[in-house]
Amino acid sequence: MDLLTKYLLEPVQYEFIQRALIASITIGISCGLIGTYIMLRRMSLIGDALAHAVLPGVVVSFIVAGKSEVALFIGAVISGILTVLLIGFVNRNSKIKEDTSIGIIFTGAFALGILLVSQLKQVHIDLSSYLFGDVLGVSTGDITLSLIIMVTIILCIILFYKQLLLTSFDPTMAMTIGISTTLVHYMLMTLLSMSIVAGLQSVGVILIIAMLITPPATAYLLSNSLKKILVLSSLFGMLSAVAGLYLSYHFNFASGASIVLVAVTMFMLAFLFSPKEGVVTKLIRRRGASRLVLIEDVIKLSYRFSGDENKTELTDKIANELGISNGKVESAIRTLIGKGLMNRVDGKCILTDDGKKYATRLIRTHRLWETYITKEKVTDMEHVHPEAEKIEHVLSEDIVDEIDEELGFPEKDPHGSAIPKK
Amino acid sequence: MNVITVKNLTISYNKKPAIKGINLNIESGNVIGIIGPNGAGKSTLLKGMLGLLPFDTGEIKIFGNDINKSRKRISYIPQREQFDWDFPINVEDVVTMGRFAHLPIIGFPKAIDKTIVEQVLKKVEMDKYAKRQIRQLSGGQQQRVFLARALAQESDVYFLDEPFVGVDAKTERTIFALMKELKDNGKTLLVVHHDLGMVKNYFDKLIMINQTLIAFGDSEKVFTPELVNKTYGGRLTLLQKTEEFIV
Repeated sequence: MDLLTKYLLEPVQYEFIQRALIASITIGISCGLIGTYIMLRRMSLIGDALAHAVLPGVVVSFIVAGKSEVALFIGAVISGILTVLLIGFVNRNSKIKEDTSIGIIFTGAFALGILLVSQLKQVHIDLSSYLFGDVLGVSTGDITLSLIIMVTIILCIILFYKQLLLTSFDPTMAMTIGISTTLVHYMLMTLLSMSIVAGLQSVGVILIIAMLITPPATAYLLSNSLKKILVLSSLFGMLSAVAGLYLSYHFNFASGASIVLVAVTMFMLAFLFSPKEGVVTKLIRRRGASRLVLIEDVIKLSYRFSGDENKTELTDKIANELGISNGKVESAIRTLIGKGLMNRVDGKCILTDDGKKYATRLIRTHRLWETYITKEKVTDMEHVHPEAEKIEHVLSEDIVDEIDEELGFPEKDPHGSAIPKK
Repeated sequence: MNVITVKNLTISYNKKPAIKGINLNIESGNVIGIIGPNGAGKSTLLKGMLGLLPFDTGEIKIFGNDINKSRKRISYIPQREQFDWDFPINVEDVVTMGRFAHLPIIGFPKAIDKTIVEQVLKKVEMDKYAKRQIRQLSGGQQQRVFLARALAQESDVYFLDEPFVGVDAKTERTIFALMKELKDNGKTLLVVHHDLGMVKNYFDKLIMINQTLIAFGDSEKVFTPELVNKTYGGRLTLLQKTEEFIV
């Protein structure tokens, strides 16, 4: 058995690890799914609030029924729903705005929970395991509960997909076709309380919000489709919970903290390197784009100049025209020669046939675009040239043909220069 | 036949009337413009008729019934700025929402719904962009998508809130042509409109409003300098003046 397999498999022989694994997977899925809607509906704050506000319910259930998963579940959900109702009540009946009323009510509820724990000596709740989570202490009852919660959440999301989608994206239309936004809101709040209960034991109330919003946010950076985000988000939730569990086992890290840190690391990776939105990706793409602009400008100018210049003269002229250093122009010329768009003949740089074709296409794009924006009154004449300059490098040939057609295949651009045919 | 009847409608925000004592009888097969200055209550009237706002007094009937019985038959095209354009949704999904009104509480779009979605997308010339995320569209294209969504709903009454704001010439032509086509098919359109320039071309009838109803009638007859002046002129209406005393 090699080291990695040992590292991964060794813990699984213990029953408490098996329980912790199942718990992690179900929590990752539950929180990832519900969290996607919480994120899209901009309700992260209420998610955090609910996580804290279930504490008094948990304590009361302990007092009434002892250590019973069912009682804990009922207590937590009731206290969650009461908090949501109270926040709404304060919000509607005073000029206090929603974020403030959330802040007031949830800290109040949380404080009440702490006070109950500290005063009732006969209740032996390990407060820290609720606050910070202890995934290695998950019981069989906890697992049954979180499995039931996960199935409920999945079913609700599938069955009420369209109601959830419409009330999240366009509540006004939802109302006009008779979908009760209030009802959907409370359904979501109930499911949210349930997913929080599921996560209490392993991640704890303080950090559970991370399980609700970090995996969805990571998925959101990677996809534009709600269904894909739901799937990715549960996957990321699951991965971070399982990875966190291993870290916790092997290095004796606090389980909630390790789970959350894995989730955040995944988020940072997506934030930096996501193919569409990543900060680093965009930087690299921008570099590539400005290089392309340079090369295309050099082709266009080489085409415009007579062709009698030797290489130094041509470089000087182009550098002068574009206001950049000779070195940049020389490197662009090297690229052009490398791509077979330009040839060195007797110390002169001459565009090849392909190079000329390329240049004509650029000029055609430039002049058609100028004609188009002048006609559509996108901007007035004085500003036309720079606008066209920027866009000619990014328009695809299809779009250019479409513009040509829409304009009725014009002969001349607004400045009176001939537009090259395709 | 009367499509919408509004009797003595008053709607207030924080005890201040936004519209007051409005009476309207709207017949089918018309394109009706709702015009008035900022804060005149144009959107309030529209939302009131859609049953989205609680009203103080009055009564609204759509096809002679309570609004809740006619929900399938009305569709609403909101102002563009109210959306989160980064929402993970593409053109096709937005238009499919138009079919939700016809689906049971638990039920998924069927083949027929998909066909309708394809048809309306072709109609507004957006079929090529079916898989595009909505942020990656121009303002005019976005407007056409929401128009397509309303068409997919196959309703009889269309409420449009400022559809011509910030759209390109092509979209303006598309919206105008569609409004005409819907009207010719006996549909009724109510359009909140801001700009007075094209009023007579766009609308058969006008509701001119500035908190109270100033005029309602054929555009040719009511779009007169006197009535426009009465609607837009003098920032303080009598109603606003009396309010100052009451508040």
